[in-house]
Amino acid sequence: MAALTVRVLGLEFRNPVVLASGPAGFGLELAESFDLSRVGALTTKTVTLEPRRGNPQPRLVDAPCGVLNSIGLQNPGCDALQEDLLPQIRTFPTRRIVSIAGRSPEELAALAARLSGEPGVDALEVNLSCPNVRGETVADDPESVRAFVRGARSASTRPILAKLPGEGRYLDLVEAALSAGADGVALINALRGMRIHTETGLPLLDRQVGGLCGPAIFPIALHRVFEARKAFPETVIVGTGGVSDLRGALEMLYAGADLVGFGFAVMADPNSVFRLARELDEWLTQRGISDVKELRGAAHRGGAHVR
Amino acid sequence: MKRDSSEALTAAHEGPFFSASNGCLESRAVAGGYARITLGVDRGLAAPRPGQFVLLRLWEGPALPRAFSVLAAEPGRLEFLLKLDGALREALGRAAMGTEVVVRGPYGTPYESRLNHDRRYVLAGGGSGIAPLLHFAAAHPELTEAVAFGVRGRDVRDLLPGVDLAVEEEGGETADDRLRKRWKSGLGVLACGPEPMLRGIARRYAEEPDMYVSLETRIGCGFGACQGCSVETRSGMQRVCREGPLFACSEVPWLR
Repeated sequence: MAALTVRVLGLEFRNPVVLASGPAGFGLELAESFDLSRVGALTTKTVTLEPRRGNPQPRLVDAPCGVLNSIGLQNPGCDALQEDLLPQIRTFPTRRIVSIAGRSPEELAALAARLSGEPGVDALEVNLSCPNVRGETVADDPESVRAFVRGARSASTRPILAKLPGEGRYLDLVEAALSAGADGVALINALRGMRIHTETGLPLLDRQVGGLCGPAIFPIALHRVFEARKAFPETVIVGTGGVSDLRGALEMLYAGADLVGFGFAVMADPNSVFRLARELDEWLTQRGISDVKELRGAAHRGGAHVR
Repeated sequence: MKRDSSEALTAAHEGPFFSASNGCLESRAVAGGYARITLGVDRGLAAPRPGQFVLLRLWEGPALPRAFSVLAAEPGRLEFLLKLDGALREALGRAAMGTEVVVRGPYGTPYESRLNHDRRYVLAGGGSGIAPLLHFAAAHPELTEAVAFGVRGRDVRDLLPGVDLAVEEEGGETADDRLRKRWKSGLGVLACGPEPMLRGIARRYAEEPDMYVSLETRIGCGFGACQGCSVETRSGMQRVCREGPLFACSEVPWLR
């Protein structure tokens, strides 16, 4: 048995497997059938102050090796989260990260303040990079990232992760989030993409653009995590983006991720995600590696066999 | 990956919503752009009830599985009617017997749980939408008054022997033409098929009670978490994979 525990953000995660924000919903359906203690953390779907209906159909469009999503932050709002969902979420035998988004730094601060008083919210993830809502994709610009993170930081003593895109000046955005008080970053969000109907010549998604996720974006996500780890050796990184199996998780850890997020894989094959910690344990044990933390960032220091 | 269909099938039982089975392609007939296929599945996989669906993926196929309603189900065996027009469907139309297919489910609310049982129904089906209705008719003769099924090409008849099918190519008649002849006041309608057909039905019977449509959207997780399949209804956003796929026409006014 290898040690899988990850200690970051002042918290202990039982293993590095994190259910990323989105496909796992609020964990209620998964909890009906899976033992949530088999993953290190659940990240909820993004919650906003007011309920959101999200985008019209189609919300999912197939793409080679992945899918474009355009859910549009559908969520029941903060009141429903607090009244109906958190009483269940806080009983889950895993770490609970609540994802939040706002239209302004003030709105984000209000949300962060309300959730910081809630037991069972281990950390907040500030979603600064949803490709599917108008006017809230602030993460193209370091100044806005700074302002939004500062908003959340000023209102909460809980650990804060900034969920950032893997496009544009992403390292500047990481720097901005950290300098504004984020305790770590989740890299990357879905990448902006589109598809066009071959008969009508029109975009398949109502908003034209959607978030590309799945194995298609894995090598890109891996590279962004690698670069972020190189630039910020000490910060906490949740490596997310098209990781679909043990191999992908190992690569993310080598690149420098502390924790590994699974989004698309939860949709495609939830069983495999809940098997992953055991597979990781077996893999480490077979190689005589006693602690998963030996893998973290190994690609930056001469590889797996240099200890 | 191939294997002998007599080999023991293994299933990973994680719970009611996550049962997955490594199914196995046992038989296939192809005609008129459709395929009727049988998959051997683990006996522990709950048999889908009419209206429920399963997610299928080939090991080497597209990563996100696709949803398919079921033509017939018995312990250890599922039958499907597929239109061969998507990557996975085409692959299923070509794959060798014994090819492994991953099956997850069943998902969705059975049709009968959403219907008003004080009424009998005309089942209106177009194309592969006929499959869940045949499944329903076999299980619920007490709720089935008549069928109105239609396909484009006559060859599809070879796949559904004994089924009363309108063939557009022959008489110009469609499922909808048959529905008009067979529906009368006092009956409900249960429809599954291409969206224009459902739209036409929702419009024509807008004032009639107990009109139901089985909706199709791209399903993501299948178990109700991702919201990828959600549609707007009079009672808020609802998930095709969980509350659906059957909705009363009055619940989805946008369809008209």
